[in-house]
Amino acid sequence: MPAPIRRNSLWDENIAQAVEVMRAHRMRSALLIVGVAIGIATVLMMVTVLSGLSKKIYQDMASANRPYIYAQKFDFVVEDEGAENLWLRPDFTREDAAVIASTCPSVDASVFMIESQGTYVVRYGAEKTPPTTVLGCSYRLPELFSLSVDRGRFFTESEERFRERVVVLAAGPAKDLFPQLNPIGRFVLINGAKYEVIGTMAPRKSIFGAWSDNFVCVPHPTFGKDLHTENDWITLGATVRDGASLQQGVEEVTRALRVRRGLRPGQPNNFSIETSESFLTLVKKVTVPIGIVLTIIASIGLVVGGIGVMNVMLISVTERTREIGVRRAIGAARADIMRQFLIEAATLTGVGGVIGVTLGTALAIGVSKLIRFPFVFSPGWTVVALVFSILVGVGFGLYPARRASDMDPVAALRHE
Amino acid sequence: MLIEMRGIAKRYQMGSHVVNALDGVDLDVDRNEYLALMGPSGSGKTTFMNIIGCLDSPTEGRYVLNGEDVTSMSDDTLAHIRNKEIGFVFQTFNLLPRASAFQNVELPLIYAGLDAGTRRERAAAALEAVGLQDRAHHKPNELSGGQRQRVAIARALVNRPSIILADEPTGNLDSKSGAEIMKLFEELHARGNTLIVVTHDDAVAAHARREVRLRDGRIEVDRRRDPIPA
Repeated sequence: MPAPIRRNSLWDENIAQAVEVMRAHRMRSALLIVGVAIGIATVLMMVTVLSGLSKKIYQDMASANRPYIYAQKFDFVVEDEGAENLWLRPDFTREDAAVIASTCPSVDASVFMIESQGTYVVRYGAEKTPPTTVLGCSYRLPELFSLSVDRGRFFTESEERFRERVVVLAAGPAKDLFPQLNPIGRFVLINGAKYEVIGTMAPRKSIFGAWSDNFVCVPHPTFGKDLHTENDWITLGATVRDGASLQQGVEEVTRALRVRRGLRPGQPNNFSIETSESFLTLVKKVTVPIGIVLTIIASIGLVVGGIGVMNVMLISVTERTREIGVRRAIGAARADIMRQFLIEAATLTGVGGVIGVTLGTALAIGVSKLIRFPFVFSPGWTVVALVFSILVGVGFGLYPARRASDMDPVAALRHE
Repeated sequence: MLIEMRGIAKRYQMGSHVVNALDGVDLDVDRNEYLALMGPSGSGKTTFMNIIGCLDSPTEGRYVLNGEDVTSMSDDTLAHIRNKEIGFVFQTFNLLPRASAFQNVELPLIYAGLDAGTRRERAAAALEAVGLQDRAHHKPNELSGGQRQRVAIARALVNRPSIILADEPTGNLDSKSGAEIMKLFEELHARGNTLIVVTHDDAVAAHARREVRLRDGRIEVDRRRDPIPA
């Protein structure tokens, strides 16, 4: 007995038939397609917005032109270490920054930063800012975070050394205090002391970072003289010299700090080192699980859509019992019937998928615009969403298709 | 010999007792015969037709169709045999309602795996053979009963089967359309086709050259006769 020949032409007939069935049962098909489309759109929108969020954070983090190293008292993520030990950690000093600058060959700018624990209202005449963070820092701070000064200049090394009362305003305070006037050369009041405004910064367009655009910079020795309190948050920052690796920089800074603190080999660091890269890793650590959870939630929607597919296909199979009998009588094998119904289910969900992808992309563009995220079109996810929508059809169509193909042709032909 | 059947039996288990729908039937059918299969309801006529048409397999006996033993073939192989050897004509036409006349006729060729060009040629020729070439793109609901049955006959013919197996082909037609269908059968017979018509209608059976009558699962009458004068 010769094996039945390949039947490529069946695909055409099956798809044509599927389209025909959709046309015949417009309402039923439309509802199903809408269900699947909403499921797919939700998944795609979530994924796209989340990619945009990651990219936004990435851009903010990586807005520094060079990778940077950041030394702080505590780790970002505290793991199971004794909390009382943590509080015994010493604060950084300005000498730490100087030692890093002189002993670490891979480090370029070494920056000492004191961030005011409390906030201050900065005043100019009748104008005042909301409570604002004051940052006492080294003159090379702009290099660290690639802050751009749009008017005037940042303070100089000598202004730092001589504890001048000069201030650089970030975009927020600059706008609050000087909505019209040119701020350069004017004097503002911080905590009762007069500071000369020598520069302002461009808006950062950043959602990330505690300061955002709401801070002012003064030289750290001036800060120490006028504003320092016990709880101020002291950190060290460093950029890596061109040609040196971030890893080298981290090793050198770690070694320098351990030597200064007299830590013996084997003793753990009593400070935390982060880098621009480890921040990104942290971001990924946060966004990936969020993405997974969102995808699971959205998949539940798709499962509901899938049950709809199963329901519609079961109805379709029952209604078309006769047709199945006729097809079997004129030569359709079980596999042919099976494939026909699978293609029908996959066509329905596939159409839903195409609509869903379009809708999801449109929604993602809208949401990105609304919350000012970059819109990241991901061809990979689009293809995944389309394939997934077809798989939902095939998966949930399997049982109805099997029911169709298992019918006894004689009984199917007799079916009224 | 086109059909050779020996000792065909079909038994169904109905609760605690066994029903002998067919009880040892022998039948030989030659090429280009025109046979009427008759019998009252419950005679096993429908079961016999299903076995002849390879829709069902006998419980006992041996069935050789066109030189191939189809008695214990697998389900999928039987589908292939039906496609190649049998052309079904049903009482209720059984056309696909959403497909045009042409698409309905083309369907067996699709399952046969023929290319689009060959399918178009053959389907057009089959529609022409039943006189419906100008109705090719009509849907079944745009055709009269007689026309629908002619489309069904074209579908039965299109893959050049060994047997055309018709089950009460005029049962759902008015007498005029019924007469046209019987005339068409005469033509098909004249062109060399083998026809088996299952009917309880003596007027329909009268067109056949041979009459096989079943009663209680056995052949009661098997006789050749002259056709009624046209």
